[in-house]
Amino acid sequence: MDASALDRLIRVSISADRLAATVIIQPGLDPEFLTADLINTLLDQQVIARSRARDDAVADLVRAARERPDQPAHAIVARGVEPIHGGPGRFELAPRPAPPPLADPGATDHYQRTPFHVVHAGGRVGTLFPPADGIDGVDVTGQVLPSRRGAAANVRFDETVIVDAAGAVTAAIPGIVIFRDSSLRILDTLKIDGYVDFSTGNIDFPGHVSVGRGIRDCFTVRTGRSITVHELVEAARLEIGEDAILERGMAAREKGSLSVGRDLHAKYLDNVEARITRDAVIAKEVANCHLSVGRHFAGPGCSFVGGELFAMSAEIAQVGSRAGVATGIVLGRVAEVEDKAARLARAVVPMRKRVDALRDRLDQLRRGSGRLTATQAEDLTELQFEEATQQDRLGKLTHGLEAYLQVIAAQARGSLTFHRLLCAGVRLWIGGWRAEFNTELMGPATISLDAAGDPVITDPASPTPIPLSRLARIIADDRFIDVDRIRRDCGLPRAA
Amino acid sequence: MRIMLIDDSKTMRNIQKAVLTQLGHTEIQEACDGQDALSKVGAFKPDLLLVDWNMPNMDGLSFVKAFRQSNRSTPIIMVTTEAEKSRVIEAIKAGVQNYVVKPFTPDLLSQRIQETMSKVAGQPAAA
Amino acid sequence: MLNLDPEILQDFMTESGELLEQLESDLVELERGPGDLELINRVFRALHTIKGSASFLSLTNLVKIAHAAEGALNTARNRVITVDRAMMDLLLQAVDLLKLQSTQLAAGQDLTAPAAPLIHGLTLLAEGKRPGHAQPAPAAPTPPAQARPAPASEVGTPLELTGNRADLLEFFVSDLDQTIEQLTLHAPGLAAAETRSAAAEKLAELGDALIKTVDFFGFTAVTALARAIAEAGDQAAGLDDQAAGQLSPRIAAMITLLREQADALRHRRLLEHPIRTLLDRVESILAGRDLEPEAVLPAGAGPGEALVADGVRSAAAQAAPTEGATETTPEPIAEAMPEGDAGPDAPGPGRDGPARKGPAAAEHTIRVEVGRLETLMNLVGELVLQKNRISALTRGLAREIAGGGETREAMQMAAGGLDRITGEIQVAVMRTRMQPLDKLFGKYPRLIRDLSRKTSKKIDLVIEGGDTEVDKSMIEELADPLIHLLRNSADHGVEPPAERLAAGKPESGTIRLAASHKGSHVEVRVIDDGRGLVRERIIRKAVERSLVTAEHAAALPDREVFAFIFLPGFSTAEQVSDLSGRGVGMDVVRTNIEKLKGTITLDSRPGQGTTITITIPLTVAILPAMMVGVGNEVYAVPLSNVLEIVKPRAEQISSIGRRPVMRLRDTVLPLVRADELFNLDTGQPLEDLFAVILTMNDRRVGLLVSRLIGQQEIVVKALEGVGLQGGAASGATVRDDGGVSLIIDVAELIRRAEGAPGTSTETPALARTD
Repeated sequence: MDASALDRLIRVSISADRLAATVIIQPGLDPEFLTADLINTLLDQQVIARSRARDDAVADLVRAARERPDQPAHAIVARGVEPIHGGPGRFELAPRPAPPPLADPGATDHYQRTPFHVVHAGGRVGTLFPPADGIDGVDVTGQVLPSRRGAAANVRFDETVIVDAAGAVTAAIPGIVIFRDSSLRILDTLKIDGYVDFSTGNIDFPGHVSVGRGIRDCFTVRTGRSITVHELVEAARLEIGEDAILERGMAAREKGSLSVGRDLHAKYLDNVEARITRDAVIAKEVANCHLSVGRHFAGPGCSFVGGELFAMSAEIAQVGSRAGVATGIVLGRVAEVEDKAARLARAVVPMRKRVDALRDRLDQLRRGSGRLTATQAEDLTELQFEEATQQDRLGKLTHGLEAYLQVIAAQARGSLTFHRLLCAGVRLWIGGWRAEFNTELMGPATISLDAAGDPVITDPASPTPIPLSRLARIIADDRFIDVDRIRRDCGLPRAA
Repeated sequence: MRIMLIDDSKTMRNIQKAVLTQLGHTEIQEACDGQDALSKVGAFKPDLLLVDWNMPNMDGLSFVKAFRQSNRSTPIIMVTTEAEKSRVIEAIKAGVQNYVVKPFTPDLLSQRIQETMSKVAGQPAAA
Repeated sequence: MLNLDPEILQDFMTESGELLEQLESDLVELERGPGDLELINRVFRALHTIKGSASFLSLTNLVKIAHAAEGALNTARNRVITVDRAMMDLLLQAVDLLKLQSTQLAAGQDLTAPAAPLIHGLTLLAEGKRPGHAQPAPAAPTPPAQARPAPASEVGTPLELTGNRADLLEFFVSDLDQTIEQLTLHAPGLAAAETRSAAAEKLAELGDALIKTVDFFGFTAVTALARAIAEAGDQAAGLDDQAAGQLSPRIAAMITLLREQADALRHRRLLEHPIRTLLDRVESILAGRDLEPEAVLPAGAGPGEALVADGVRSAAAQAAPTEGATETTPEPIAEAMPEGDAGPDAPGPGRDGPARKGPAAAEHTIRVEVGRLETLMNLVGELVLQKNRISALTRGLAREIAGGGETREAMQMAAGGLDRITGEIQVAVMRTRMQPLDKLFGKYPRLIRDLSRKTSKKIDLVIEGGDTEVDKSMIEELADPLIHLLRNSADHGVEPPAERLAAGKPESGTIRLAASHKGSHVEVRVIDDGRGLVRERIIRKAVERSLVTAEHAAALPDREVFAFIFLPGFSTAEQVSDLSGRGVGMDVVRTNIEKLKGTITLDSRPGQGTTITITIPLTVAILPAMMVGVGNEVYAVPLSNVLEIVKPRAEQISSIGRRPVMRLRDTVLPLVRADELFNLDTGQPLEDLFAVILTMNDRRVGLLVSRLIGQQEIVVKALEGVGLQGGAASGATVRDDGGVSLIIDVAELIRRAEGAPGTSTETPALARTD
C-alpha cells in the first residue's frame, strides 16, 4: 500500500479550535496493517501530544476498526484545554457604614436613617478591581492557546478620590460620595433643600452643610465645617465645627443645644444652651438662654433678657427687663475653662507627689547595684516606664493647667457696654466682684475695671469713670477660682 | 507599620505597646514565646519584631534563627539583659538588626525602633 | 491605688488567673521532684510575671507577697537551698493569698495585706542563705588581653561609635578574632581542587556572618572585605586550579587585613586600606576573566606578595612582615579538609555546650560531599542506560521467541519492573542534588538594595517560588545570568522616582523574581514594571548593525524584535553604566542559559515593564530525547526543543538566497540537512526526508533527517574536545543498543541556519515572510 492511499484511508483531523484531534479510518484498509503503532506514528507526525488517554483511544479505535473493517471508524484521540478568558475589571462602591445598633434589634431609629453616603478624608469609598488575566489553554499538540485579559473597569475618578495600587479607592477630602454615570467624586458641601427632618435623618457631615428650610425638633446635626440654616432651628442639637449662620434663629424650648467651633451669627436665640468658641453676633434678642461665648458678644441692637451670658466682653442694647427677670452677665470668665482648670489642679497635686516618690525609688535602685539580674532589669524597666509615663502625664497636665490659668488671667478684665438700658435685678460678675443693680441705669455706658482692679462705669458724655459702687452693690465673690492659690499648690511659677 | 512583640511577660509587652502607640504604631500583634510567634508571623506579616531573649518554650535567639529561615529582611530588635550582652554578636549573625538592653527607658526603646527603621529604609540614622 | 484602666486590669486578671492555676499544680509537682530546675524556673517565671504586672498596676499588697515568694524561689533556683516541705508550705500559702487577692481585685475590694509571719518566713528563705546568691557568672567577655605590640593603637582613624555600637565593640572584636581564626583554618583549602568546594562553602558562611556584624557597626571598609570573602566563597568552587592559585593568596591577604583591622578596632580605631585593586582583581578571578600580566602572582605566592601586587602596601612596608602574614601560609590540605563531616565547629558532645544546631535538625539531615552525589548520579546514569538496553533486548527476545509463553511474559514483567524502579531511583537521586532556588535568590535583595542606593531609585524586589528546587549545577549556572538580568532591570528597566511619578506610576519600582515548576522544567521570570523596551530603538540599532533591513524589521512581531537583544554586542542603553554595562551582554546570558539546555525569551510593553522568562530543565544530566536516523547514523535531539515533525511536501520547499527554507502553515523557516551538517553523504532527495522542527528562544529551524526512531531518555556525556563533527553536537550518549549517538546542539544549529550575525546581509532566517 502506498503512502497516498494510506493518507486517504486514515486521516488525522484537528478541529478548528485545535482542541480535539480525531482519527478517521475509512473502510478498505488491510486489518493486519492497521495497528496502534501505525496510528501513533501518524499522530506523532502531527505532533499530537502523546498521553495514556491517547494510547487508550487509539487502541479502542484500532479494535473497533478491525472488528468492523467494512465500516468507517473514528474517534477523538486527544483533547486540548480551552483557554479561559479573564473577566473584566469593575468598581464596587463600599457599603455605607451601618448605623449604630439599637437595643431592640427589630426597631428602626428613623433619626439615624440618612440617604447620604458620607466619608471622611481617607475613608474607604470603594474598590477598583483590575481586569483578570485569563488562564491559557493548550491545543492537542501541546501548543499554548493564549487567553485574553478582561477589559478595564468603566469608571472615572476626579481629584477628590485617591486610587492606590491595590485598587483601594479612598476619599481625598471629606464629604458626600456622588457616584453617577460611571463617575465618582466627593462633594464637600451637603446641600439640603428642605428641612432636616425624617426625610434626611440626623446629619453627621465632615464638610459644609446648607439647609434650605429649618431644622426640626430632636434632630442632631454635626458638621466638620460651617452650617447655614435659612429658617428656624427648633429644639435640635447642633454641633458645628466652624461658623454657624442661623438666618432666622433658634427656639430650643430648653431642650436644644448649640455648639459652634468658630463664630455664631443669628437673629435671635430663645431658650438655648449654647457654647460659642469665638464671637457671637446676635441681631435682635436673646431670651432665657445660657450662653458661653469664648470672645466677644456683639449685640448692639439686641436685648439680653433672662438666663446668663459668659463672655470676655459684651455689647448689648438692653440687659435684663423691667419686669425684673433674673439676668446674669459674667465677664472674663469662661465656665468650662474655670471648671477644667479646677479639675486639672485637683489632679496635678497628687500626681506630683507620686512622681517624686517614683523618682526617689529609681535613684535608689540605680545607685544600689552594679550588674542587675534579669528580674531586676525587668523591674527597673517597668519602673522607668512608669516614671516616664507619669512624668509625661504630669507634664501634659501642668502644661494644660498653665494654659488655662493664662487664659483666665487674660480674660479676667472684660467690659460690658449697654447702649439703652441696664435693668434692675441684673447681676454682673467682673474681676473678683459681683455687682447687684437695684435701680435701672440708662445707656450708653461701659462698665470695666480700673487700674486697681475695681469696677467703674464710664459714660461717653463724661469721660471720667465713676466707681460702680456708687450705683450698685459691689460684693467680693468666690464663685470663680483663685489663680494665685492654684499656682502655689501646683508648684507653678507666679504669673508676671 | 505592623509590629510583633514577643515576650513572655505581658507587662513588658504592655510597656512596649505603650511606647509604640506613642510613636503612632497601632498594628501590633503579641506573642508570648518563640513558638507562639512562629505560629503567628505567617498570618500577621510584621514589618518589625521586638524579641525578648529569655523566654520559655523557645527562646528569642532560636526564634530568630527559625524565623530567618523563611524571612531574611524584616528587621528584628532583640531585647536583652546585661547578662546576654556577650551573645549579642551571635544574635546579629543570626539576623538581628538592633538590640536594647533591659532596663531601658521608653525614650531609649523608641530611639532604637526609629534607628532600626530608618536604617532598614536605607538612611543612616544618628545613633 | 491608682485609677486602674479597666482593660489593663482585665488583662491582668486573666493572665494572673491562668498563671495561678498553673503555679499551684507546678508547686505540687515540684514537691515530688524538688530538683527539677525546669519546673522551678517555670514557677519563678510565673510569680515574676504576676509581680511585674501587679507593680505596674500599683497593687502593693499583691506585689509584696509575690516578691517574697519569688525571692525564696530564687535561692532554690540558684541551688542555694533545695525545695523542702517547709518551703513548699510557705509557697503554697503565698499562692493561696495571691488567689484570694485576685478574687478581691475582681470584686473591686481592697486587697488583703500578707500576714507578717508569711512574709518573714519567705524573706528568711530568700535572705538566710543569701551568701551564695550570685549572678550566674557571666561568661567573661574577652578583654583586650592579647599582649600584642601596640602600634594598632596609633594607626587608622579613631572610631566614634555611639550607644549600642560602642557597647558591643569588644564583643565584636572577639567575634572577629574567631572568624579570622576560622578563615585562616579553611582558606588554604581553596588552593587544591579536591578541597576547594568545602573550603569555599565555609568561606561563604563565614563571610555572610561577618557581613551582618560589620553592617551593624557600619564599618564599610570591613564590609567590602567581608563581602569579597563571601562572594569568593560562593563562587570559588567552580574555579580551575590556575584561577584558584590567583585567588588563594588574595584571600589570605584579605585575612591579613582583617587581622590588622581587628587589632585597630581593639584600640577603637578603624583602618582604611587601599583595597580597590585587590577587590577588583578578586572579582575578575571569580568572573573567570584573565588578570592583566602584572597582576598574576607567581605560583605559591603568599598574602604578602598579593598585598604588594595589588597595591595595598608598598614592597618596603611588606618587608617588615606582620605576624598575620605568616599565619596564613597554606597548610597541608589533607588536614584542612574535614571529609563528609560537619564542620570543625560542630557542637561538642558536652551537655552544657551551647548547642549551635538543634539536635532535631541533626537527625534529619546529613552533610554529604557533593563528589559522592556526582558519583551516585553517574551510576544512575549508567543504570538508566542498562535499563534501556534490557528493555530493547526484551523486545527483541519477544520477537524471536514469539509464542514462547511464560518465560517471555516473565521477562517482560521483570523488564517493566526494572524500568519503574530505575525511574524512581533516578528521580530520588536527582532529588538529592536538588536545592531550593532560595539559595540563589537569597542574595538578590541585598543586590537590589545596593543597586537602588547606587542609582537613587526606589526598587522593591519581590521573590516568589524561592522554594522551587532545581539541580545544584543549575543553581550555580543560573547565578550570573540572573545577576545580570536583575542589574539590567534595576539599571535600565526601573525609572528614577521622578520619572515614575511623572508617568503616573508608584514611586517605587518593583522587580519580581518568580520561579515555578513547569512540568520537567523550571521557569524563572524576572519581571519589572519599568519603562519597558522601545521597539523602535531596538530596530534602529539592529538596522545599524545590519542584522535586519528596516522594511523587514517593521513587519516583525515584538517578540522577534526583542530577540535581537540577545545577539552578541547588542545593547540598547544609551549609556553604559558601571552597574550593568560590564561588557557582558545579554548574548552571554543567552549562551549561559542555552548551555543548560534552557531557553530565554523577553516580552515587554513600553512604559509598563519587561518580563524575561528563562526556562531550564530540572537537571541536565538526563534528558528526554527524540532519536533520529541520518544515513546509517543515529542522533539524539533534546525533546524539549522539538516542536513538531513533518514530512515536507515538495511544494513546501523553496530557497531564499542559497538557503533552503520551508513553508509551514503561515511561516517560513530555514532548513538544515543533517547529513550535510555531519558530513554524511546520503544522497537522499529532499522530499524523502523528515523535517524535525526545532525551537529555541522563539526561533525555529527544520532539521532534515532520514528516519524517525523514537523517544528515549538519554544520559548526557560531555564531549571532550570541542569541534568534533563540526561542533554541532553538544554531547554524546550511549544508546540502548550500545552504540554512541551525538546530541544535536540546537542553539548552534539555529545560529548556523541564521548565519553568524554580521557575516551575511541576507534576510535573517527567523524573519517571518508571507
